[in-house]
Amino acid sequence: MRLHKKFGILFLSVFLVDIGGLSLVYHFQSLEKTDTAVVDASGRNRMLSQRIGFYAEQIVRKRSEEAKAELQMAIDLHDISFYALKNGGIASGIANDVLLPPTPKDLLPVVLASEELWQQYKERAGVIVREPTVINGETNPQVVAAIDFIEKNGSEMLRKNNEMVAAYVHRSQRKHRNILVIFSAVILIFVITAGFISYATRRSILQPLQRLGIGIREIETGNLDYCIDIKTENEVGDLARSFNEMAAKLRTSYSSLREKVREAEREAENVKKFYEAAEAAAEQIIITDADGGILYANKAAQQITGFPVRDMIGKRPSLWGKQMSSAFYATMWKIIKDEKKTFHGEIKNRRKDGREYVADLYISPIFDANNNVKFFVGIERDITKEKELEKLRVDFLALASHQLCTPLSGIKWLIDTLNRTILGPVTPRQKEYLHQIYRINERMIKLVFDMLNALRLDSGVTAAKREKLSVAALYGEALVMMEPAAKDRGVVLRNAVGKRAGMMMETDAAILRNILECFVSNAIQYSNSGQEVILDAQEDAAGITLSVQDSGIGIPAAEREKIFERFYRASNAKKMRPDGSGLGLYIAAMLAKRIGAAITFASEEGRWSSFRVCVPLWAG
Amino acid sequence: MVRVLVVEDEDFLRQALQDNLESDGCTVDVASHGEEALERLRAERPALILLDLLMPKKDGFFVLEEIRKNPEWSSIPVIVLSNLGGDTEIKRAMEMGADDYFVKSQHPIEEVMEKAKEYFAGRKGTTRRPAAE
Repeated sequence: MRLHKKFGILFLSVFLVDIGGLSLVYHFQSLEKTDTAVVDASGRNRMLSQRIGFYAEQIVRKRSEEAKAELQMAIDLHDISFYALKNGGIASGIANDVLLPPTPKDLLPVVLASEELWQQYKERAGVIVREPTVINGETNPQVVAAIDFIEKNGSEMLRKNNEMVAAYVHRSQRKHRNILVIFSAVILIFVITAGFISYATRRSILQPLQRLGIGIREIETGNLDYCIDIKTENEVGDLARSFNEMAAKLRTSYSSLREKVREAEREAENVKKFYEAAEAAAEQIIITDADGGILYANKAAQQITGFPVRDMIGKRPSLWGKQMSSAFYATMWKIIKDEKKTFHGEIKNRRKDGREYVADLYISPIFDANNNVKFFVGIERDITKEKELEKLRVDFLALASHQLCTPLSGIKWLIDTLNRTILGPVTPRQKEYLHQIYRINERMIKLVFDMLNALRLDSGVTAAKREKLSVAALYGEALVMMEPAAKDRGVVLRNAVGKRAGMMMETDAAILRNILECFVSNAIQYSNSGQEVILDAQEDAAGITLSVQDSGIGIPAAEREKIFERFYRASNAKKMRPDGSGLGLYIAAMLAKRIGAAITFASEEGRWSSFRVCVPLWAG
Repeated sequence: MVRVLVVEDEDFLRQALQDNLESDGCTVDVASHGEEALERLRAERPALILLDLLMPKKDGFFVLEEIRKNPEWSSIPVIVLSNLGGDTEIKRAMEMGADDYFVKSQHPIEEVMEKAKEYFAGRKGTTRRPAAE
């Protein structure tokens, strides 16, 4: 049962029992008063009946006239009391004139028995009061008769009155007993009710509350698996169930919270790793907001720029920049902010102490969920020393190569001159020797020329041009250029473009020609006599792809990754032609990068190779 | 007789050029550096100049500049013969008024002779003016 109902009923019954008890007490008190009055009234009658006898004797025997009034008063009092006792009413002078109840039926015979005698007794006493006691010196015979009756029946009257008193007292005592029983019952009910309430309270409230308390303490100390075992179907049970549910919810959210905390810890560990790595990096690492305000700078940034990190925060990288043309910065911002791409370039900066340095700079935009730039990460490496060394190296090699070219071109031209026979005839054997020397010299020239080319590309000076160029024109020129070499090796050059020759490209013609010549030259050199070299071209959405395919020695699968490396030569190519420079494809790849073209190739060792360069459609 | 001025610091190259030109019937003046070249020019006006670039004392670029500055010589065709094969050098020489540019190691001497003939046969005068003018 629900507690509030249970307590409602309990309290209602306690209230009713209390009210009943109180009204009983009240009722009992008023009964007690009435009973006392009844007993008093009957007691007084007993006394009055004796007094009537006494006064009557006084009047008759001692001729006391004064006693007549006393006698009359005693008669009246006795009469009033008697009828008040019998019929209910007020017995004057008794217990503040309490209203007496009529005599109950069971006592009525006693009263009626007394009444009959009282009527005669009252009549005789009345005669004594009313009639003259002495008539003519003689005692009035009427009076004598009356006094005789009273004297004769005085004891009987007293007995009857005594019986009445005894009856009333007896009755009152019985009533007392009954009230005592009722009181005992009421007290018993009180005790039982109190015991029951105490028991019910203990069972349905106190014990569950205690268990609830233990459970709450368990949950408090972190034992979320604790289940409070209260099955009671009342508010405390509800509370326990709520606590169990709460503990279960806590358990779930606590374990997910713990998982989240662990995740956060791992994340923090990761972030810490990145932070430490960034701090320890030799490269300058800068993080800026979308407008270039510096949010983070690592230690290397301080070393490279000379500005303390705290001076950089909130400032812009122009603190040490501003050394390049405004066009440079405009392009840089366009790439990172508008195109949202990574910028890579060499940049000249100025240290805090005024010294200039060259850096290799990467700036990458980092995006938020909506693809807006959240911040930029700039990574800069001080390459001043490398640049200086590189320049020394390039200068040295350029000069050395040039100094090599001069004697080589001297040999070339002197042999030319001899061959022209302007200095006199040359014998066939001499001519053969001259031809061999010429070939060796040409090899040297090619090597030096390739080296020079590579060096020039390495230092990356001239920008690519933009010219309109048809595939037909390019291939026509290339075929004319390469025909002598092909003929020399007995290789057939074939232009397979046919009708598609009208395709137009927009690129740097000289660079593209160089790339194509490299492909064709390789194809001729690594083919055998009688084999074909096929030039073709395809156009698609990406651009125009030029291809040069041979049926030559191919490239070993294991070496394919290396063939664009400087001075690298495939093993089978070295065997076939020991004199190559290993620079052809390296140069071609660098040239392709310069015009935004991509070189790809496919090959099967011993069967064929196909090199392709994809010239992109000119964007913009 | 066509007069050709050969400006070249390397003896063997100068010799080869002189021999070839003379066998083709030219009169050849030679100079082994820039200052000598200008002396020769002042002494005799050639119909064609073959000019090396890297030379001691004054280099080929200086000589070329002097030739194009001087109204008397500005119409003389100049063929640059150099082992500087870079785009920047070629571009610079052409902009300064060279009529042709040969990277010595890349061309047989016959090609140079053929080109020279085109000029001194009178078929071709200089069309070059320095870019600055």
